Amino acid sequence: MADKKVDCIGLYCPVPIAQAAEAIRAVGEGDTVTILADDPGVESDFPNWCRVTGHELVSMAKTDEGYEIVIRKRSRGG
Amino acid sequence: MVNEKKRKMVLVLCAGELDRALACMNIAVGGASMGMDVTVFCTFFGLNAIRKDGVAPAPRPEEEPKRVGLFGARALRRAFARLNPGGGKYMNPSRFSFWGLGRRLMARLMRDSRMANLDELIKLGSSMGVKFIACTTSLEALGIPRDSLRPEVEKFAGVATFLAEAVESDVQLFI
Repeated sequence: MADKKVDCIGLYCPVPIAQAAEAIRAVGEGDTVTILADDPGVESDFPNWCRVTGHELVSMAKTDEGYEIVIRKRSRGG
Repeated sequence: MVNEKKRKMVLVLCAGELDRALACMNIAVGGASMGMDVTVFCTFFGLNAIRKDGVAPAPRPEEEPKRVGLFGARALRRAFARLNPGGGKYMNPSRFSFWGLGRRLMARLMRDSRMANLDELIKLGSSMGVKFIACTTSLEALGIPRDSLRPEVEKFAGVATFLAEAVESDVQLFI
């Protein structure tokens, strides 16, 4: 399973979800995308983004810099 | 919750304040990021958001309205065009405008904190499939020639187009 990293440190809404959407489109089904972000809005945005798009929120961890979010691309469409 | 049918959103941007335009484009990009079909319908001073920066060039004679009732209407339209430059660089915030100083301050603050500006949001949205529609009546009313609009604008239309999009949309917002 491949993993794609997206660094959104210092970037604000809506750029992190836009970059996540782009990265998810680029990876294969079942692959993951790891997003680093420090806009506090992502804490609520990514669970909701996943709920609507159907991708799986694997984990969301607080780091020194902000948040590390792992999303797995769902197996159909996306 | 996951629905295979593509969701749709239509936004009407009716006002020319920078903050409204930023909110509109932010929501548009967000919608596109969530897999929605997004249409931004710009009307009246909302058109300024999808114009190239600066004062629009004088319309060619064939672009002038067919019926010009008032003597001197052409000069009046030119004067108005001069007072109403377009593009994110010339849009004032709804508060703390300070005759143009406010927008420069806001642009500076946003750039320093690496927030996306209007130009970047429109480019990003367009690359994600957001459709931009310009209202033809407002273009005429404000004397904005079509070629002074940004290349991302793909359609010129009226209220029926907006309503047709709106009845099919899951989200409709008037900004």
